Amino acid sequence: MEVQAKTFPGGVRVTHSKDRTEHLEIRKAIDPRTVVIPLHQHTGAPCDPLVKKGDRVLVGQKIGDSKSFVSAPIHASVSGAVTAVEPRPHPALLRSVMSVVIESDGAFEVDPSVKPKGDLDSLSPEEIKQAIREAGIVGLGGAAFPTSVKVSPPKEKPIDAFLLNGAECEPYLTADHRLMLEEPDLIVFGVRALMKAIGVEKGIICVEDNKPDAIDAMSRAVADYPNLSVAAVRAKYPQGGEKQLIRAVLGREVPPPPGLPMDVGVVVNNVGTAAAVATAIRTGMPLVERVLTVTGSLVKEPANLRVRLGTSFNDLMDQCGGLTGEPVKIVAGGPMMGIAQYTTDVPAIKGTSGILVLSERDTVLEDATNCIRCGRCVRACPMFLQPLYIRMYAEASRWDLVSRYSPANCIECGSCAYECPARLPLVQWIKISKAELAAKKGGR
Amino acid sequence: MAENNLVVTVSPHVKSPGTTRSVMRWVIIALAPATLWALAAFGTAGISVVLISVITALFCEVVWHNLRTSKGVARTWLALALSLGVPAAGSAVGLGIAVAVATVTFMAAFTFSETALERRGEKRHVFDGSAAVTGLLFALVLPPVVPWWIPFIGSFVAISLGKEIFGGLGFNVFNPALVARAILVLSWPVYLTKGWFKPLVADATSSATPLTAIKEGTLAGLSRFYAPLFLNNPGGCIGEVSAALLLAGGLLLILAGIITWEIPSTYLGTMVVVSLLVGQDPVFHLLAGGAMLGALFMATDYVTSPITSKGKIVFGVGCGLITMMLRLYSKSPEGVTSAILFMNMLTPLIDRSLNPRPFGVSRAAKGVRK
Repeated sequence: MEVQAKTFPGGVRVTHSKDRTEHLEIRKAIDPRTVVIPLHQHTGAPCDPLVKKGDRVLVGQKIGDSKSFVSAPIHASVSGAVTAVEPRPHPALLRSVMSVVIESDGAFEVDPSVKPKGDLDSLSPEEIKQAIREAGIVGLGGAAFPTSVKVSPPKEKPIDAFLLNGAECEPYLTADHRLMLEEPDLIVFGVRALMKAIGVEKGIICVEDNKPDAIDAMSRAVADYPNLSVAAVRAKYPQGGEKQLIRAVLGREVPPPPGLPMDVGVVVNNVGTAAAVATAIRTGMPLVERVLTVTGSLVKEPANLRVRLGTSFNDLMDQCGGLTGEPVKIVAGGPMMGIAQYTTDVPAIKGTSGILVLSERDTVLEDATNCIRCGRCVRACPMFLQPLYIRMYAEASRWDLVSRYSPANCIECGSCAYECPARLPLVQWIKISKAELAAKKGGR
Repeated sequence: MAENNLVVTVSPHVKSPGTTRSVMRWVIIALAPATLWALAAFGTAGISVVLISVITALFCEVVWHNLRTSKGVARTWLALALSLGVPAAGSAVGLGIAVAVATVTFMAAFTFSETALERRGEKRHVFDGSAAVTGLLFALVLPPVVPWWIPFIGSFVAISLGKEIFGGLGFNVFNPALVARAILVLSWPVYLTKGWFKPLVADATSSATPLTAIKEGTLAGLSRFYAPLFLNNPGGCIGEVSAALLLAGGLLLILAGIITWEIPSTYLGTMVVVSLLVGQDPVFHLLAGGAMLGALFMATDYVTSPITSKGKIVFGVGCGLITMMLRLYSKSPEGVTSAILFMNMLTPLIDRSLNPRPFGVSRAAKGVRK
């Protein structure tokens, strides 16, 4: 089955740095004594707390919910007493966010609402969507977009292809890779459930060609399903960006914002998301745990861990043998798009795909120098933007000229800044430009 | 919350190993074979031209960087006073030595202040290699036999008027080395067009280059010059001794991902097409004069050439066309310098006109939106 791996224009070759964890089996993290569960772990409206200090909660019990369409409920990952409902540091929003703090009683008593949803064939698309919403499932690749919204495209946007994103193009991260090797059948079950909810016939599981073992495992798992196939995509960053994945596998280009994959008839979901959907249907257990990679040159024993949501970064790093040196950066997620933390006193949440501990050697803290107009950012940009001009005009606050270079189209993959020989913080300037232009538009 | 020293920045948190410094290092490596071969051919004359040019460029760069810092102006005056005072005392020994001592003192004073700055972490990258590249490229477009002050003034002009006056690296409009060459050709045409070491065309009137000869119509049977032009032609500028070594250096830069194929291939390709159209020998036009050096190392200068692939193609074709027009129809035998400088001027226009198609917008839809 040796075929040319599909790919997209632009992008960069990154150092994968996956060798320390890609061969390690997923292991269950030590159960936390205390969890801090933020009520906002997704794109969309934050949840309101359903519990208060002193309440006893059970595993899988809903502790936060919202009436908004674009949102996802929050569940307890341990059983025990709620000791506080208060703002706590958040690993993705970089500010304190209302969170439920639960002291575990160590019993892990499961909430009575957690019941298998029944046979997949007997469930209607609506019932599956409802189950996904109630389970609080969001995109586990990092963006944390509510899955229930993704699987509910409006009628005027027919979907003809479902892509499962197993590219895992971020360096260092291996959680999706291990999940594909260890639980391919669970993933395929999740894919079938998602496809039934959307009402789409064709499903393609996309894996980067630097993971041949995962391609094999997934190919075996889909053998019984003629409507499912596995596509090898070339290991190039950001192959796992959904727009790049669609372009590579189907040759379609998602229109600029507010364009979505559904505008070109596609829904893309992550491997971990599919597994979470399968678990929610098979056992009824909502999203209360996820697999993440704890790694980086300073982590003594890197690992792929199955973690109860709300476990603190400190606990997880301690379980991996602690650190062998002074970290310079601690990143939630991968090194290309992950978020640098100002404290390690933050919990692993739904969107946390990894905890990356970087030394001074691993990261780059050089000062920026002058742009030499080498054009590498332009060649690297998978969205065909010209980051050098966005930076140049943004630095001069010429927002009229910035808007000409459409910073809104940027997916913030970081390819431009990765390549920049002058070490210019291009993504930072693009983020600033987006905010400035959005504010100007809103003010008018 | 525990105290920590964590650094918080926007992503990405890892970067490619390539830096401005490494880019400049690659260019110098790529120019090294052609330069060394030329120095072997020209001996001490060539070596002093290259050294004076490169050292002057580095020196000017340091002066300019100092002038830009708050304390730099005072520091510059101090160094200037020292460098004038010390040799003034010993000027009895002769003007040449006085100038030499002045230069050395001035540079020592600046190098000192520079290292002090480096230590304080105020300023890095003064020696990012870009000034060395400019100095080297300028030396390569000089004849080997010129007075010592020609590379000195030229290199000063390249860095000061060619680059720093615009704001430094990345801001200049024209290729600095070619700006210097153009100014020197206008100011001291005798030195810039006559100092050929060993004329290849012995039967031509004076020490003329092959391009002069073809212009004057004194040359027949051009193919007999292919081999010397390709491998060892001591009858031109320092950098033009071997087209083969320039080509090898250019290919190295393309393979290393430092430059892209568009400008060199469209530049040289256009020259071939034009010479075929007018019935002249295309191989001779590629090998003679500054075509190789210009197309591979001057026109590909990042700062002064377009960003996008389409823009680079337009730029390369323009350079090739103008070079050939000047070679064929102007009074001057060569046109590479003027051609590249002219296209440098059009670079901002080209960049503004040829933007890449936005992802997700079809060609047809783009036309409608405009």
